[in-house]
Amino acid sequence: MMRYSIAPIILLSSGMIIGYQFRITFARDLVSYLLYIMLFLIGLEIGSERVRIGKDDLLLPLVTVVGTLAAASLISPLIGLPLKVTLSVAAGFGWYTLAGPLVTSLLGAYAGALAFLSNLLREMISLIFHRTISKIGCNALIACGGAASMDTFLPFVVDACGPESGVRSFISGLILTLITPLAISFLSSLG
Amino acid sequence: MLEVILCLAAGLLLSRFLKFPIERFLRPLAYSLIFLIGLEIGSENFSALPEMILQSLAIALSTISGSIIALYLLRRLR
Repeated sequence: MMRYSIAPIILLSSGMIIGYQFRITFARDLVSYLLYIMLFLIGLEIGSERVRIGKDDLLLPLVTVVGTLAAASLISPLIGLPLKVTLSVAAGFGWYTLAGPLVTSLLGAYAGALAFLSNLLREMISLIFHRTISKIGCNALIACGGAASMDTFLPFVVDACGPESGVRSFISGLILTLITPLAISFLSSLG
Repeated sequence: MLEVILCLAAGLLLSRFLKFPIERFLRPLAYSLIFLIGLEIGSENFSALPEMILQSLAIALSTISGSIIALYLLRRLR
């Protein structure tokens, strides 16, 4: 857990220091090209999962989307950010490795870094407090994990709620994995 | 938005034909992107970092709370 949380922070920080020292200008174009490759690979990964998804499986990720975006709308004026930026950042649903680059290419470096940090914090807070959140309910825990509920967060759901919650967690994460890039690109295009 | 949909759709469509260990490529790619974001923000606006951390924390805490409250409300309605 710690390795996966610390490595991105070290990479972001060292990138910031090098960028500050040398004023590198080619990063933006490179982000866009690598991002397209990443989205293609994500499509491949989602397509290769052979899981049957029923109507009932859709409810949990949809409630996660509604709760997350409603909260982001409320907090937006309080933190002095435009609604479209806050919604796009929140629509990462804890998937910081995608949200950061995608928001950067759509709304610029500041919003991108915000998306990365905010979604990383969402995952870290959910991981640290997973046992406490599971006392509220296993669905609440899966919802907090967001898109990570299908991979990095899955062992923590199983640990706190048992193996029967694992399948629900995986399906919810898979649906959010598909929703995340579409939601970010839609919300960032709002006027 | 069109590029995002096209890249995802291409991956989804080709997933039946292309079989290789995707995870092996995804993580290094994601980490490279994070480093590049760092480069970009470092070149542009380094001074706004403390404010950005506070805004990130506020969004993280509110979205976690929002998800929990939405599920609680749904359970009350059902």
